[in-house]
Amino acid sequence: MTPIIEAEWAVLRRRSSAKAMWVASAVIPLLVVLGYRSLMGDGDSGLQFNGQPIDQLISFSGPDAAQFSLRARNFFIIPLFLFFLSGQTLAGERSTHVLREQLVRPVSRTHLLLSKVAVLWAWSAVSILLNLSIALMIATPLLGSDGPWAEIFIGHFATLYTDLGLIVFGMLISAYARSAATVVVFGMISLGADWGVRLGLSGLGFLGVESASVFGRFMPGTGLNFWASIEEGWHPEVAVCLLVWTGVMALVLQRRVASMDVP
Amino acid sequence: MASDALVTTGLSRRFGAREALRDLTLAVRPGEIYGFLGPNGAGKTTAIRCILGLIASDRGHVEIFGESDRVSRLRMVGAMVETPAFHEFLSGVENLELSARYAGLTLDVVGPALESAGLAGRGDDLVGTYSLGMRQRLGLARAILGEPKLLILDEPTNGMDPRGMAEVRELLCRLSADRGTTIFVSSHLLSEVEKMCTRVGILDQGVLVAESSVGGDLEALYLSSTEARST
Repeated sequence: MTPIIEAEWAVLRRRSSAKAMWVASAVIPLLVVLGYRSLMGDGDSGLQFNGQPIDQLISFSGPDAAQFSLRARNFFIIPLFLFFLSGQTLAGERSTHVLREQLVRPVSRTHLLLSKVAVLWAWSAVSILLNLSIALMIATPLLGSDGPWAEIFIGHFATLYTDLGLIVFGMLISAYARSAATVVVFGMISLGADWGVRLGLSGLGFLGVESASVFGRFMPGTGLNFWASIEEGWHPEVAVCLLVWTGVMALVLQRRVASMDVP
Repeated sequence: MASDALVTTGLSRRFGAREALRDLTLAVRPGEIYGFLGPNGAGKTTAIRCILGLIASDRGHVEIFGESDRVSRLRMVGAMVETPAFHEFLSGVENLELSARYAGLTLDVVGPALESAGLAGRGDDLVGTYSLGMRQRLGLARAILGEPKLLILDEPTNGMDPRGMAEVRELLCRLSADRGTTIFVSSHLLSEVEKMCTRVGILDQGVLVAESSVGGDLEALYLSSTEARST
């Protein structure tokens, strides 16, 4: 399978959208640190919230900036890139007939699919590393080193896991869609709908409907937010939820790819 | 006894109510150039896609040099289906290198294949800048990577000028004569097939209506075979 992975990597690294994802991963921490720096000022920024100086409400250390940078990365921007790249990798290649050219070679469809997922995952891993290293390299000298170091590393590591879930979800949509744009639109709508349902369920939970909050814990979006929930403590059921959803999606994806007609 | 290069047995495929391919049974002998003729929509490309495993057949069986497993049989095949597709943002050489990797071949097979297809000077250009004829040549170069035992080509001279068509014909004849490559080529150009092939099969409305050695009046055979079914 190594030559297939090499080939997929060679294609991905030449895609403008893939390069843009890395650039975004590097720019996000830069903007966050600059934003933190301007809010922090020289300790007397004058900005207040509810009558209190803002630098007493928010912690402005380097690790805090790295943590916020991860939130910014995982909110909307990188999922969008991951959906787009998943779309280009399968739906795009299928509609431009490039997938056909790969499959007239002695390549198992499952191996090809695994290679595509593995390469996208490796790409997202570099993006996480870029996000973390740039945030820490710039933020720590500028803002200091006190902060939640353990949570930062665990959060970034957990993002690797949640990115895999997003990639598999993107590839699953891609196996049925005709273009990368469709994958992005459907993917983002699905995430939005999931968020809306979870919000409704937590509202019901607040009103005393216990089963609603239990149900909410097993929604796909709960699993995809594993990286965030880990900051509030270890919730194994969230990790299991993500594992189950990713596994089910991977199974459906594999069956679809194995049986689909390639034009 | 050596296996036939390509054998299809009762190959059938339906798209909704339309039967695109019905009980296609044929055998291509090693070393021969087999012309697969038929009018537009006869089912030639569907047959080729079934042979290559791009689409599943509803019924029937495919063997290439005795191998029926899709991956095993494709180890012996180089193929070009319709207009070849490439990553437009990569050069010709890079596209061929990808294909070599997928096929598990070393990258040194790329240069000779490009040269054989007459693209040695343009290999480093982005495919996005290639003309239709050059894309056909690049598709052909990709198909002959690693000197496969069987070449399956779907309209390989599509979009080429007369000189290009003659060069492709010459290349295919040379591959067959020098390396003993078996070639299964679909076309609707009778004159091309007549000059190049040793045997032909004529497909019409998904059915193999005639098979013959090249030598007689191919046009008359083609017209009578396809006319008989359309009336």
